[in-house]
Amino acid sequence: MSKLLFILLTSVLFFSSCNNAKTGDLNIVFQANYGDEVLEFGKTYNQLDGTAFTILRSDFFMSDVRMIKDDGTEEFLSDLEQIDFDSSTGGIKVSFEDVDAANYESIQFSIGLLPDVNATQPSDYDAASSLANAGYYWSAWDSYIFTKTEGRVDDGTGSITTGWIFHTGKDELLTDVIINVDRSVKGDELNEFRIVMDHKGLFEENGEAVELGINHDPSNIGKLASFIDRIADSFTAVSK
Amino acid sequence: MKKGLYFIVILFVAFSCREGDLVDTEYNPTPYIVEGTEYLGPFPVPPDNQLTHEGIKLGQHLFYDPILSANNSMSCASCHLPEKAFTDGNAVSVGIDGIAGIRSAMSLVNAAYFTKGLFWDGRSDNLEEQALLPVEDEIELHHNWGDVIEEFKEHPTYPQMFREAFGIEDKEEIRKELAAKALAQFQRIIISGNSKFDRVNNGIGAFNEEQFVGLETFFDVNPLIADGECGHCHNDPLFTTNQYFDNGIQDAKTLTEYTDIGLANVTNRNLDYGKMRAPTLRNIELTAPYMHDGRFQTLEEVVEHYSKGGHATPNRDPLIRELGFSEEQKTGLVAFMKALTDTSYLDNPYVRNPFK
Ligand code: HEC
Ligand code: HEC
Repeated sequence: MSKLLFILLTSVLFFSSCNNAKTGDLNIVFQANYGDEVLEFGKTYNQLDGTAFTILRSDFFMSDVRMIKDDGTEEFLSDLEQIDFDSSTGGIKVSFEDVDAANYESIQFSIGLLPDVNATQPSDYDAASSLANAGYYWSAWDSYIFTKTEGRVDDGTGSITTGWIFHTGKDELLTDVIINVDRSVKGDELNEFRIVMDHKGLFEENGEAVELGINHDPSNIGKLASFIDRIADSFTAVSK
Repeated sequence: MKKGLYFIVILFVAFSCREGDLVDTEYNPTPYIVEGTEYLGPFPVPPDNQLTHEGIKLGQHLFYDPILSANNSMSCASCHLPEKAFTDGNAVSVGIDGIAGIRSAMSLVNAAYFTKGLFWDGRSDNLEEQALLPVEDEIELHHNWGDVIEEFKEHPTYPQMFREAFGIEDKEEIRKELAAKALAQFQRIIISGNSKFDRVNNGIGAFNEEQFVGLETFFDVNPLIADGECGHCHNDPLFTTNQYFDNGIQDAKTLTEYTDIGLANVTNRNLDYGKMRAPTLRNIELTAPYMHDGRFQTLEEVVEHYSKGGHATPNRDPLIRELGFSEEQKTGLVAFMKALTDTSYLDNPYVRNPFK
């Protein structure tokens, strides 16, 4: 009898001491917006100069995803994630387990692939990996495609039929992102942080409409660099 | 006494049944090592359907055997001819009753890598699932699996082959799912990765002038000439990205005007109307006519289409637009695509027709 009590007691102790480690699960939900509305693929939007256009694709790789606690220490989350907004208006959820319970001041990552990863090729990976997708590798650049943003624009004929794309890539375009969150992860709970990516700003530069054309040429890297910078600036944390 | 004898006989029969009629055949499958995938990379294999010599051999026989069709007139190979990179040379395929389908037979070369849905519209998830479909398709083999299984059981060699491949102990255990697994194994070993393109990549030989212009156009390498954009959807090493696009071939001004809505069959989304899986361009020289409905007879016609940009359909991909190739680029693209031919898989005795 006393043996049983002992086992019971120790196991209670054991499990409660586990709780002391204090970690929680965290979903980071990325939501695509256009201004204040949820982004709708194929819907007609207007640029600052009135040009009508649509957005049909928006995705990006993020590397070295981590969060910074109030005390300045770092909580590592993931080497690599691909956020492909596809058609899901509810947002894209990335899940992390056993995240330290703490108050976090920011989420940080780089848009694109770290150079050692970018030196690999799709055939180096098993088909299940997002890096196996040859649609995101561009041999002419020796690089993965970090971001794809595509759609159609009215070329002056009154119908929105001409395609535009911005594809970014190459090591020198790897771009750091810092998103202030000031939210806490609570232990033993499923926590959710919501990040909005506002697409509106991608199409404006210095108060002017960005010209929409076919942009995936590394000889045009300046234009791509400012595009990926605008992507980096497009994120804000929101409360649910 | 007589009763007792009866009893013994019954017991004997019962026992031998339980033992299984195939247990005398050895079940000792040998793993099959796929060759020629150095440049293509690894492909996924379902854990419960690992490649074995015995499984592949069974799949090979089933693939070439008209036993799968209602009137014993057609096999998978009737529409997927090995010498045409497993296509049939027709614009759209015709089944056992002489009825034409609506789509062109697809190449099965490197099918192991087609991991984002099979068929032009992606409606089947994997080779195991796909292999069940042609037998009962009314315009293809128009048979039913129940009868096919009965024919397998009566067959002089198939019961043993199912045993050797999957370890069944009795022919009563033959199932359509096992036949489908074998067909999937067979299709996974049809590998093509040794074309001129691959050899040049490996430092063996060089492209000629035409092929080089084609390569530069295909992969947008040279900023001084018009981009071809081909590589975005037909990227190496597979020369497909397995993604779905509307490449502007259908003359549809509105969603309702698409004659074949493609991916939207599966997803029901407006944005997917008219999107088809970009096919591999490996062995494209052998698979005319081209596109899901076989509308183009030659590669020259295909290149002309991309040069002009096709129709401004509601979902036409942004990359498809008037590109304006020079004559040199057009011949170059065709020459480059022909450098993707490699039929070395036909040297593999497991790939060829075993009944010939
Ligand atoms: C009557 C002609 C015909 C026969 C017989 C036939 N197929 Fe096909 N096959 C086709 C056509 C046409 C398609 C494309 C259909 C579509 O996309 O709707 C196709 C597509 C496929 C695909 C998809 C390839 C890809 O890249 O997605 C596979 C795999 C395949 N067939 C295997 C088989 C097997 C195995 C058999 C025998 C069990 C078989 N086929 C019998 C005509 C045929
Ligand atoms: C936006 C993506 C995209 C681009 C860019 C593209 N293709 Fe395609 N290609 C496709 C799709 C999708 C199909 C199948 C369309 C169908 O049958 O409805 C296809 C079909 C083909 C076919 C016929 C394949 C077959 O088995 O019938 C050839 C050949 C081809 N493309 C060559 C090219 C060349 C050469 C270029 C560059 C000049 C190119 N493609 C650019 C998506 C693309």
